[in-house]
Amino acid sequence: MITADDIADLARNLVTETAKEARIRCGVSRAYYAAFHYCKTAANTWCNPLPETDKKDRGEHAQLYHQLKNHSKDASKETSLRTVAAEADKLKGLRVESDYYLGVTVDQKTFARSLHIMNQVKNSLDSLK
Amino acid sequence: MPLNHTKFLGTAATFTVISFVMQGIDLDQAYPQTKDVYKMPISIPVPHAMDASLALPTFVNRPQNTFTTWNPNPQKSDLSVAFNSSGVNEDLGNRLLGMAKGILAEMNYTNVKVRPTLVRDPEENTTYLTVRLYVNATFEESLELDSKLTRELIQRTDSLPENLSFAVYDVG
Repeated sequence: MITADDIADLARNLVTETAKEARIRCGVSRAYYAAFHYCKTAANTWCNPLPETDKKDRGEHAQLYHQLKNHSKDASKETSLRTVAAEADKLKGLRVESDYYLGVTVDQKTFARSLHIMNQVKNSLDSLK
Repeated sequence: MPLNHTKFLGTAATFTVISFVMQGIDLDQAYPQTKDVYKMPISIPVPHAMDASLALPTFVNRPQNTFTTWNPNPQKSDLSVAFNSSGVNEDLGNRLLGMAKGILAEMNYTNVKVRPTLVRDPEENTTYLTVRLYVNATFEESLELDSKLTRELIQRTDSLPENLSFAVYDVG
């Protein structure tokens, strides 16, 4: 069994300064999935289950961010959870680009941006504990 | 080259057995502990292996291209097309963009170049729009500005529409 931290560690260590683009793309993707699992843990802890009606026409990832944005158990955490969901959603755009858009250049800056967002998600959620 | 019937039949039988075994797997029983959302696929969807940008010529987002290269409807602005493509109400999108620019102006970044970028996620069949706001800042500053902008937007609007993000980039 592993945790989101393990995926985050992999993301951080996957890309070196001389890494080729394929590896950089993997790093972006791992950073996203670390953020996704941080969010999933947060939703399980601080959110009510998503009603079936809210699941309709949404994929698993969209459901998770919808849950964080709209189904917090604690009103004092609502804004933070919405912000985290928005950050993770933004990172998802980079991940989709990295995994599917081979014609777009994914560089070290994109990777650094991905790690920054991943860390933002983790730090924001840690501050809620 | 003559067909090796024995080898052919053996291979076919192997695939048939694999197929039956995979269809017979109870995935909920296979992954009961973690409740992972990524369960083992029963069949591999071959089209997903392709470059998604090739399947979506109108959404191709290549940094070296100008906006008009990928805008399929020159009568409309790039932003308008991007909002419509991602299912974001255009008026709301424009209001949020104005708010984002206002927030950056409050932080003394008044010269902002706007660039919409669309990507389609073939796994969730969703199109995401990130409105990139390019400012005259270092890369590190742009990352901090990006986080601040997201926080401020959420505080002022409560929430952003699904499939829409705003991100701060350095002009470079």
